[in-house]
Amino acid sequence: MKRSPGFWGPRAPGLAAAAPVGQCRPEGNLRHLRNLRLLCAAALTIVLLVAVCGHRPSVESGLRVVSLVPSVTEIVYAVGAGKTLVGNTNQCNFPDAAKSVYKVGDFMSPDLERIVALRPSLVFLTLPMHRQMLERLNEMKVPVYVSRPADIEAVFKEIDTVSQLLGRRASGESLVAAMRRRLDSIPVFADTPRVYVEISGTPLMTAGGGTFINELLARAGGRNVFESSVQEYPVVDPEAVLQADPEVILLLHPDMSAQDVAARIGWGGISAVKHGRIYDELNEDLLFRPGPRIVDGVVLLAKLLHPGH
Amino acid sequence: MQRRFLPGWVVLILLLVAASALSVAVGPGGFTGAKLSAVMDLRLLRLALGIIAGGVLAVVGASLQGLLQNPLADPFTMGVASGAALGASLTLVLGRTAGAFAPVGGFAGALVTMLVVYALARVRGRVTVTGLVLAGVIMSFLFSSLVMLAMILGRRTLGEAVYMMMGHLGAVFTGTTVWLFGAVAVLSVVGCAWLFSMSRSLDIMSSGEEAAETLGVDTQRVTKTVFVISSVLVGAVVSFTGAISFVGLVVPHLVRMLFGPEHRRVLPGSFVAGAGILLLSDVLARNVVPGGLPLSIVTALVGVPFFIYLLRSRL
Repeated sequence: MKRSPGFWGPRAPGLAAAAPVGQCRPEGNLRHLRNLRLLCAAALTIVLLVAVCGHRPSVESGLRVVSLVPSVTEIVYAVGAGKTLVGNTNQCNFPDAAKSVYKVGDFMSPDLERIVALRPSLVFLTLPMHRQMLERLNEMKVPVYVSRPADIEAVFKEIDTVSQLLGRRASGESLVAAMRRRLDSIPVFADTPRVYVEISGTPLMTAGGGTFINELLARAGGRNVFESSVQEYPVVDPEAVLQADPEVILLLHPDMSAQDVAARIGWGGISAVKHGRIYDELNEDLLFRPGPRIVDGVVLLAKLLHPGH
Repeated sequence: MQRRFLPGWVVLILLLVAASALSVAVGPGGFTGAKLSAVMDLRLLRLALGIIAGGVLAVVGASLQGLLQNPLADPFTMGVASGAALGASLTLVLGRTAGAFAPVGGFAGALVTMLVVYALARVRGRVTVTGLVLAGVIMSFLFSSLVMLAMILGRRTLGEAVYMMMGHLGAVFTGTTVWLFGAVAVLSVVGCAWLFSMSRSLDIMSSGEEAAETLGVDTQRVTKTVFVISSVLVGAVVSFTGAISFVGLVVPHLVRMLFGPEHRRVLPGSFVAGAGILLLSDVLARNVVPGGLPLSIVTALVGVPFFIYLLRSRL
């Protein structure tokens, strides 16, 4: 949200009045000084008020929000602004209330007409998924917010921004504080098991460095064996998995069960297979959605990677 | 085996042996020693898959080209490969238990495609060659789109769709699927042998449908048999590897340059050459770029220049 110069125009006299503070001291006229102090205080209050809420759409009742991003939908509910949500996508399935909101299409392919018909005052979207949608909405002068957090820290920042946009600054702050406390309560583990994350079995695909799951693993005291991959979700050769010898395998796709992976021919020598540390049926939304439940994802992984704690 | 074809056979068999050796020796898992023995199971299965897939695709391509007297016929242009990919994708999308039966889905997809293509090409009770090729190309486009659609609706990553449509040998076998693969391998050998047994009919068919009929060949029966065998084989192979292009198209032409047009030499030659070329492509695909490439990228990079050469030299 940019502060437009025009917006600050009407306040300019107040600021100008505050300027002579330094000049009036040498004169020593007390009454004059008190008046000036009062003026200064008034100007400061106005400035602060403007800074805190003046330039944001704080009128909650008038907000009509459309969220095309499941993680942002979760944030909207988590900061208590669920009532402002007039549209979301088929993939917005958390919390339960999000399911009954009007659907504007799939996360991958939302429908522009349905969005516009809702006359939204704010649309949440993400890149690169919604690049075309962003251009069209910009043309139509519909206010948008692009969600694109790169790491957990950025999720905190995003919760802050989204809560402010929705006039829910306080809820946003307390949510972030709670998440931070929870994240900090996860101990730093001395041993960091090697982890292979499988996101597809045909062909084998994993998550490289620079992905969310990679950071979650690191926070949970694990090491992604394909961290060095430049691609976000690279296809990997089965041999490369054997070479990396992961101690834990996380299955994040529905193709196979842990038993299936343990039965893979030639995989018997992998530590994770030998010690039966293959995990399936994980709640993928906790691991892939950069929203309020992201710390739950870290906790989930930490429990899997360090069962003793 | 006539003496004048001996050098050709030596070349093809050397190609296959060299490709097999490379395929077993070179990989991301290292070249020698203890590391090699750890990945040996994987590499041997990959080798077997490569030989079966390359052989089957090339033999089916050669049979279809002969049968339809069309140099562009192959499992791809006939729509069978795409149909098989669609069948395999659908079983994958259906979930874990169904996913293990991808070969069955691929086989069903290929068979349904063949039936549809055959029905579309059937005009006033007769199946024409032109009709078959046109219907095949149309179905190929349709099913490629449907693979994409199935993957998107099934919430799969685009990467999975790409590999399904462009092929790979990176299938990981489990105790169950390795049996399925064994069955597919036996089926492939039997099917190729069956096609080989029809060499004579194919020879006559490739000189023209009407000529074949006057020579007493039951063209409708031969066409049906070749179609059914082709779809069964391609369907089974594609469900493991995805749709690998160009092997079925280019290899038969290459073999005809060595051995002439007679199918009793072209078919076995195609099997050996197809297996060798696919294995070589796979060695390139998995070792040149870290993480590997979809196979059809490599087969196309090799196949297209060769095909252009073929085209220009015949004009």
